[in-house]
Amino acid sequence: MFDVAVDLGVWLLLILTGAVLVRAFLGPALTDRLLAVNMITTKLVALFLLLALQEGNWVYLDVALVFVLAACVATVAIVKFFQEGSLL
Amino acid sequence: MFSLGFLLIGLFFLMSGTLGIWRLPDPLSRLHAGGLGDTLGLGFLLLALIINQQDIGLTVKLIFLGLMVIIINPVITHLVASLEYKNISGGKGGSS
Repeated sequence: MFDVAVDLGVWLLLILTGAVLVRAFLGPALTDRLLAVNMITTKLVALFLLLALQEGNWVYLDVALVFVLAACVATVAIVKFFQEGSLL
Repeated sequence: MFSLGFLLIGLFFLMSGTLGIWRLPDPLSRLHAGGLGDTLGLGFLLLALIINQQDIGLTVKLIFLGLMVIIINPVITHLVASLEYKNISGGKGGSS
């Protein structure tokens, strides 16, 4: 029962990531695109966790940790660039 | 059985965040729906994984990941909201 739910969750998260990616492509404002990229990060972390549970290979957990930190730094850099005009 | 329930609740919140980012009218309310729904959904998903497995090292690592996401995700939402507020109010206001 739990394994079936994990399988369905992997497919559901792939569909949701595709939907948010379309939103990031045609979002009207700048903040929509930034928020959509942040949501893609969160959904991919959830996808990594479900894949780790599905395959019994917990190295995906370390991938998720590094991915969260890298995406955080990237989003903060983009926001700083658009607020102050330059990165430095 | 508890882990199945928490997994379904987490997937529901992730789905409702995506629905909010597609259906809500203006950028600030979309920001609200996306940020809150994603943080809560990933929190429930991590709770389901913590209940489902028995290793203590993996539990510590999952709790660390959950704390990191719970701290980082609202901070990023706040930064993006301050950028949007600065755009709306014409160049002044918005906390750094």
